[in-house]
Amino acid sequence: MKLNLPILDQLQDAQTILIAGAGGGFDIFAGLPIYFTLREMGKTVHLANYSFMDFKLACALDKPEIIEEGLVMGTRGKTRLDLGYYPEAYLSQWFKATRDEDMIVWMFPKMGVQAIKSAYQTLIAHLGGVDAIILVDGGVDSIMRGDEAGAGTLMEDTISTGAVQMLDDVPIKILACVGFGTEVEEAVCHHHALENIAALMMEKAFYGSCALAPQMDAFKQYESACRFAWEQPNRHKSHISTRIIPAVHGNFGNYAMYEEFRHSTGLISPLMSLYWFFESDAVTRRSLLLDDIRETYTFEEAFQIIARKRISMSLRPRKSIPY
Amino acid sequence: MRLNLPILDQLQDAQNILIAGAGGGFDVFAGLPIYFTLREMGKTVHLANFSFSPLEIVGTYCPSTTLEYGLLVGSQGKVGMELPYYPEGFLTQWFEETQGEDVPIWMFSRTGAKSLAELYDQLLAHLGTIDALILIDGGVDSLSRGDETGAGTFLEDSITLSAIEHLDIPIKILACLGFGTELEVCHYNALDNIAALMTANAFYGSCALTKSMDVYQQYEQACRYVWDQRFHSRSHINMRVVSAVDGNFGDHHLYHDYQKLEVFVSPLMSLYWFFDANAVIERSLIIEHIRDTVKIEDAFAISIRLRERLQSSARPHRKIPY
Repeated sequence: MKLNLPILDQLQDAQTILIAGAGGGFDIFAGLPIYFTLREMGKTVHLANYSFMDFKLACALDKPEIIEEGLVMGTRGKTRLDLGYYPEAYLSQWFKATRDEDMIVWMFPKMGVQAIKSAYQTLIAHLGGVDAIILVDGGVDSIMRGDEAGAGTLMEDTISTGAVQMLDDVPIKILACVGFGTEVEEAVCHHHALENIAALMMEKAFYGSCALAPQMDAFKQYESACRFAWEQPNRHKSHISTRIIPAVHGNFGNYAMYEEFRHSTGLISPLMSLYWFFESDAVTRRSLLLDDIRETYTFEEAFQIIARKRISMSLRPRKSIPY
Repeated sequence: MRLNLPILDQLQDAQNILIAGAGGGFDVFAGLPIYFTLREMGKTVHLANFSFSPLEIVGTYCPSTTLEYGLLVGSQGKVGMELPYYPEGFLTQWFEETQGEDVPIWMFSRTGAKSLAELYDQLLAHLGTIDALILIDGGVDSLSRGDETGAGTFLEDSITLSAIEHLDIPIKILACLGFGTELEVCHYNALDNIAALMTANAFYGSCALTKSMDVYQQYEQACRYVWDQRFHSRSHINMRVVSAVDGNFGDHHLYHDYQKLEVFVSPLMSLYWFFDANAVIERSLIIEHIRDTVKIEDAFAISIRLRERLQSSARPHRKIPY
């Protein structure tokens, strides 16, 4: 069974597509079902991630392909030591182990908007140009504007979407969110997520939805890659994808995929299986934070600006979903 | 922009498709975006509805095709009179006026499951080959098994599901549109039911309506056409779906006269959920008891007794804690 992506009209003439994790961590894994669906259609698709990996450490333990030092590198998974946390390398290893493919997973460092913009430009030049970028968010906090009480960890996402907005040469920029309800630790207020989605619908910036189903080949590949990355001793696991996967399999309620998440599962539900697609630039236009951090190079600069700004803002108070 | 139906694999070899409203009222309207999408693909698509319209009256006084007097009637042409409730007739009129097409809506009377099964047989005999049946529910209460607090008005849906069980059609799909539109439904339990169907590999995927989709615009136009007929009733469900797809949020009302009830319009209402109808039937706790009912009153009586029996073990009303 195929994943019924709603964005095929937009991608019709896009032959080369970059899928990039927006919010860091394991976000790139949440883009894998899209990746496999587009690959199956004969598109050339590259993978990249806003990375929480220490680049110096990665250089010491891996043999990454360095495009610009400290700014863009790609892992082929040639690690000499298992760090427990290096999702991009484990993903590349999965491609080798299960599909015998040499897949480079590109990494952007945890830096500010200007640096990430430059990193995207460098990578895109290296790839020979791309026709479309699909930013992927595991969860929905990338659509937060900044004035929500439960805005989640929106900063990384805002940096990524803000950097991509400045790429004038890329005609199509899409933001994909999957895992509505998964951001338990981040205390995301999904009432506000829905309010933000509604506002995007009103300005025709909502491109549609689709759900993962257990029978879908693209889902099976995604699950396989996640399990490969997680199911080794001492491996970090994504608290987003460890909820999406059991949700797609039909688990419901207080369910933990792994013992270590037993204490904070939230409500596993079918809403987690849904992808929501948006015009990325429309999301950035609505951001109340981006203008303040647009000139930042380091993550710390951006962090301080946003922390100060959020203190001075009047936040939309947390509300529930009354269904 | 096209609607990305997730059921195209299932419908690949289906040339003749029947879309039928499952729960009565305006349900068939919620199937219109699917109807237009499949038509666009060159399929032959028929429309039917479990109907609350006065079939004896419209069968006698309005242009129509009667297959069984008062029980199975197809709307035709223009309604020709002011009626406070005749959504199918005005939908046919909309098709004629705006698309220049003769599209009958086949109306099943509100009967029990056994009678409805016979009416389905009759309609299928009239239509010829049908390769796939898509039942459509405006809302999600068709997924209720019967043991939920906040099960909604699922009896009509259960009657329809029961009636189609015996049909020799290879593909039977249930589509639900409008998560959150039914104020009386506990959506925590609806999610629980969806999850169980996912486990059974009976979930066929989702898609959302968006403002930019032609098929949505046509659906909205058809809805508004019928609602704006003088003195005519409107659909609570479809009004909220339209509000939601247009990007409204919270306590929003398309028409001022509906402001008494507080609603929570949200993007979740824009979603279609598709299921294997057979699996929904299998999970029902009520269908096996109403299968032989002739009149809807019989089914009601059985349903009330059964619900009383299930009450002690009923799943409680819970909130979605997101």
